[in-house]
Order: sequence, then C-alpha cells, then structure tokens
Amino acid sequence: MILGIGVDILHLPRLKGLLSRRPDRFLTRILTEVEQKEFKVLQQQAGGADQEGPLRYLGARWALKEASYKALYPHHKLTWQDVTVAKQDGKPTLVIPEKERFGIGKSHCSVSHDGEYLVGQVLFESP
Amino acid sequence: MFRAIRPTSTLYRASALYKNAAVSSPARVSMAMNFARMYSAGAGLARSDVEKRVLDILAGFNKVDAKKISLKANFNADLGLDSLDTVEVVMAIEEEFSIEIPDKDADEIKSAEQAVEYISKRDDAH
Repeated sequence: MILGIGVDILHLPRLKGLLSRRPDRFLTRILTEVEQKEFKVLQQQAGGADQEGPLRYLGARWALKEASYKALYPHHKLTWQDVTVAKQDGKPTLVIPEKERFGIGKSHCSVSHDGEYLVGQVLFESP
Repeated sequence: MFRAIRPTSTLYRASALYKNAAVSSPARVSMAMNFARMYSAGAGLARSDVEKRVLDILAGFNKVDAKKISLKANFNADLGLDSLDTVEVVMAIEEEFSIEIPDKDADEIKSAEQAVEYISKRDDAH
C-alpha cells in the first residue's frame, strides 16, 4: 500500500547563495557523513563547492530529503540525517537505516532538472 | 568562521557598554561585542536580550517585511520564509548563541518565541 508521496522544487541559485554564506554548517546539517565525503570529492574535482556538479549533488539531496519528509508526514518526522541518497545504476535510491521504526517499506524517488530548477519526488510504501 | 556583523545590534550593544567611547572602527565595534557576550555568559542570558538578538536575526533577512516581525510571527505563515530560509534562520541562531541545534529540535522552532524558549533552556547558550 502507498504510505505517502512528497515533492520538492528548488531554485539552485538560492542553494548557491546559502552555501556561500554558510559553507560548513549547511553541509553538515543537510548531508550525512557518507554524503559529505562524496561532496568533498565532487568539490575537489570541480574546483569549488559553488560549481555545477557539487551544487546539483547537494540540490538533489536537499529536494529528496524534503520530499521524504513530506511523504512520511505526519506519521513520522524524518530529519536530514535519517535519509541518505545513493545512486544505483545511475538512478537515485533512498537509504533509510531506521525505516522499520518509521514504518516504511519500499521507497521510490526521482529527480528532474531544468536549467536553474530541480525537482525531487518520493513515494513510500508501507511494509 | 567569523559571524556576520549586523550594524544596528552591534552599535546598540557597543554604545550601551561604552557610553563615552566614540564607536568609529569596525575593530572597536567587534571588541565591544565580544565583551558584551562574555558578560552575558557569566551573568546568564536575560530574556529581553535573547528576544532582541533573535528578532535582529530575522530583521537581517532581506525577504522579511520588518513590519511583520514579532515574537509570535510564524516563520512560514506570517514571515513568508520557506524551508530553505528556515534552515538558514536556525543556522544564524546557532552562530549567534554559539550552540548546535539538533535536527529534531530545529524542526520545532517555527517562530521567534519558540526560538527564545529553546535558547532559554540551553545552559550553554551565550
């Protein structure tokens, strides 16, 4: 059975602005440890956190975690650190270590980009 | 990371401590501010001081209409702040009071009043 759906849209320049004002705390708040490591690698490859690659990485995680929150609300309130976004065969997947506690079965997610906008969508099934 | 200086609150606090000192250079202003913070930490935080500092943070956001700022104003419904803005408000509060606010607590802070309540419960805030 479908437990809930959630969607979140993001204007990437806003993320860029926030990241420039709060370069450290914003990353540790939004990203899990494994994501922070991946972000650092992307940042080094791109030559800065404000480049397109790292920004899109962060934007996709922001949107999918917001969408996850909306999908599960009000059964539970997911926090940024409850969800890690991984990639499997080029497709994003959600890793939620405590999903049994939250009453989540399968999860589905998708991201779409158009220019400066990015949208993330999440669907949770009950176990 | 050095905190952003908001001229109004900085000058206010500096002038309160140094009534005779001409506040002219940024260095003097930031020094005065540091003394103010040390004094507050030792003496405990006055609620009115916490309220003012939280309201000043909100006033620092360009998209917030200054006329709508109040302790009871809901960040989203009254001040028009969305989730990205609210995360930024919480980070600004963390920096202002030198504390780290866990996600679970941050999620419950939806107005200046709730922020003030939360800070008043944190002994390590200063």
